[in-house]
Amino acid sequence: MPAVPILKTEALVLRAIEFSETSLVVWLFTRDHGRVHVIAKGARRARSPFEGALEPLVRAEVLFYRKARAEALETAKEVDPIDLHLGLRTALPRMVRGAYLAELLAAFSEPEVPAPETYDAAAAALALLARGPLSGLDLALARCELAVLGGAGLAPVLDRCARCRGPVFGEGVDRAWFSPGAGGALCLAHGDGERGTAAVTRDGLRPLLALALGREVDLTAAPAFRAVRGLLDAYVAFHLGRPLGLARRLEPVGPPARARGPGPRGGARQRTKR
Amino acid sequence: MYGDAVARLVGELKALPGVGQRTAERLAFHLVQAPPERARALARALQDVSESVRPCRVCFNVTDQDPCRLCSDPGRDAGLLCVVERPQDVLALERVGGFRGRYHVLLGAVSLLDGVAAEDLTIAPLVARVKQGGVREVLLATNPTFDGDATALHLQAALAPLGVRLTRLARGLPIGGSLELASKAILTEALERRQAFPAAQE
Repeated sequence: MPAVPILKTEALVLRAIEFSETSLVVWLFTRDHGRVHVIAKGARRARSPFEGALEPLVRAEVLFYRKARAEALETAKEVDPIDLHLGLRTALPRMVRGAYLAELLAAFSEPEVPAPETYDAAAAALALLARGPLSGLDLALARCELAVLGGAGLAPVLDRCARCRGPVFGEGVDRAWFSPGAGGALCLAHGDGERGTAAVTRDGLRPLLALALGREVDLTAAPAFRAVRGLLDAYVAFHLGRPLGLARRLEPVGPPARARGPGPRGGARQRTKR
Repeated sequence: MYGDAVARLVGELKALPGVGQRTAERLAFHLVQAPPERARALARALQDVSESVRPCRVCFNVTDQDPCRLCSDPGRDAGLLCVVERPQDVLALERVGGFRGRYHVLLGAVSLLDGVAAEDLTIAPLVARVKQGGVREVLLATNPTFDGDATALHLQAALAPLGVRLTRLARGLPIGGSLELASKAILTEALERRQAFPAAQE
């Protein structure tokens, strides 16, 4: 009988689900194997070898037995934490953003599809969410979100019309379209009739475009935060067929948050085409 | 194979957590072969539980009298409130015997990833209880897990404006443990939450 192969990779724990009295099924986003679901036998026992290492958003080195059948679960052998990200647990905005990132990674990762660049971006973002200043949380999250979308082949086109490749905004024109289905921004002439398309202004698109181009953006300002989140939430919801559950829990942090008022968020206005 | 009544009993036992087919059969045949009074006593106990046990209207612990014995005990400190996730946590703390305050059971924990919100727990009655006055300290004794910590942060947001002292259960190395065998999670917590070493008392 051939020996069961043991694989070693770095991973982020996305979630752990009770499987039996003593075991957990754990969703991992691995650097080398995409999303992997492992069974961690004995993880729920009082003296577990996995103690504390299978909590959501822990970054760890993982050894697991390769499953024998396609429909079976992998079996965790060892989980050695690299970063517990305990700082996430010091403030709700950190925790909510960390959990949102876990939800995003679970939704946009595939089993057996390595995504090392996405993994590195997520690991870096988690470190910032856990230990960076509160005012930088949304910047770290949005940058990572663009990296996750890019890794899934869904990076939004923002610097030109996703259809005609011409400028998004014409001379003296402040209005264009944002179409998740078309893959990003559309010029005024090409936005008609696309499902989920919404009007967007130059100011509404600017913060997300700047982020995509790697520039600094102050997302502690409520208008910029809402512009970015509105577009990203619409884009993610379109491609998943549903909004992420924690998207509605994201609110701006930092000084401008105290001054924020009610009302819809987003650079994309509420005028949605069907 | 063993008659409808026994099969039904096996089926009911199997629905209990941690009980599989073989354990259910073993328990069922134990009851079948035991003196009839044993089975009747078990049936009565189950009936009593289902009919008389309910959440305490003050602390939400399970009880057969309302308010529960812990809430009615005048010897307990009403100014010190310990907030736990589940009734089993009250049992665990009471077994230790060192806590003489009162409890509040949340009946769950906030789970960001599973969509359990603060509104799904008994946080609103807790806030109302603290607002009534007389509470000087609330001990947040939720589990040291991702969900337990999320719950504690929600409790902090709800209770801090009320001016009550908030404390959290300590974390770190277990008594009798060794550094060599401690997990990274425990060691990290113990290092980050290290305490001043008090001067020796004469």
